[in-house]
Amino acid sequence: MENSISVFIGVVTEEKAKTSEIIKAILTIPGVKSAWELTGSLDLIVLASSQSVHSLNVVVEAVRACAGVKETTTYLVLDSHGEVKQR
Amino acid sequence: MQRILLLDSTLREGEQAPKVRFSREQSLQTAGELDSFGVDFIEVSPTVSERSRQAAKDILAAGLKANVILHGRATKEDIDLLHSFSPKWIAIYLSTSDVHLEHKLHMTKQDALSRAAETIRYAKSLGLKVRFTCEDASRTDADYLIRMARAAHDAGADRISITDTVGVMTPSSMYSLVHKVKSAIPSAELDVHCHNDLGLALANSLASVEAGATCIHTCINGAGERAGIPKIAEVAMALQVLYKQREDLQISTLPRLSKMFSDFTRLHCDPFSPVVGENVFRHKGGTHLGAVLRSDGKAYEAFTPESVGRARRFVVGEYSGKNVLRYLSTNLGLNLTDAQVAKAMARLKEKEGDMFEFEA
Repeated sequence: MENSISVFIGVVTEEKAKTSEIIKAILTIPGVKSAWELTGSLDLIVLASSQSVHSLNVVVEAVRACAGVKETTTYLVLDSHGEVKQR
Repeated sequence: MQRILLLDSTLREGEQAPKVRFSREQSLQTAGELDSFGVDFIEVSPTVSERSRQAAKDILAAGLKANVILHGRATKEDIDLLHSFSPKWIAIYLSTSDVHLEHKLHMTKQDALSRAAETIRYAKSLGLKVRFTCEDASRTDADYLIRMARAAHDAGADRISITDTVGVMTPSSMYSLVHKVKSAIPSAELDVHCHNDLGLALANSLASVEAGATCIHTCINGAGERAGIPKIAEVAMALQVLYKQREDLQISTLPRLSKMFSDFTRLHCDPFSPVVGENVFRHKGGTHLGAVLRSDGKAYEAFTPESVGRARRFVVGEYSGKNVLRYLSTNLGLNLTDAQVAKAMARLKEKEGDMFEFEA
């Protein structure tokens, strides 16, 4: 059993925002584990973990507040499979 | 009920457990933490070794609020050794049961009575406060135990300890025994020292104070010979929760005390251990967890996790109900629909066991 809770935060960025700067800012947020750049309906997906639901929500809010972030959608991780165990 | 005192014997009884040994520094730190917590007595045995003597000196010199009580046998030799540390309190013990008198001390009952009175009078003549311990009291003929307690009291013992040395009492038999002694000698101040061989040390200690004893002996994490004695955490919380007293105890430091002991001894705390065990504020079952959420814990908690420096945690997995997913949806802004909650729920039910846990 994992002793923390994890979410993926899907991010849509502003049209003219510099993705590299957004990622740089996101990666400084405590609780953020990693970020991937994507094509399609989401521009970024961010993995974040915390032992506490309240501190994890602080992480989600901090991602939302980053300059250049237009909208976010949060997905709870129920389980993970394969080699990447990122919690 | 009178104010119940706490004596912690981690540095004496606790050290008599296998694998438990504190360095001088660890002994001093343990005493300091116990003092900050608010115990009334810290029992130390300086008769064991040079290390134990140095540790006792350190603790006596530390200027603690708690009484440091030095422990030894009811012999002039031990009393002289204890007295050499210039303590205020000493505890001397003498067996009172037939089996101990015959096989351990090789003394008659009359000899034991005389020894108790003589050694207590000697210690009192040195200006010491004295607790006299009737070892194996619970297996001692009650009339003889009362004679012994009266002899100790008349000789000047400030406190008398009634022990369940091998942990064979029930709460009702312990109540009866302590009540008999207290009724026979109303002015005697009684301690209780109950071993946990049958898991009844806490219950027997509480029965004792209901019968008139005024001091319970404890150890951090319930250490001690064999199955140990009552855990300081459970006794302290019982006094606060059940008897509405000892609000002065710094109960939020109990987890720190427990962890310190585990770190020093590498003996891990049982997850089911009251107050400090890691499972104590973990909620898992769906209906339980739902009730906990709706009642702010009251439905399934005897006291709040915050009161003892802990946090409530929820476990998500096979046993979960929809409540925990709705809770997460609300608190993380997931905006899950009922259909999405149901689908996630169905997937959790496919899992084997617990997936993750978090602080609520």
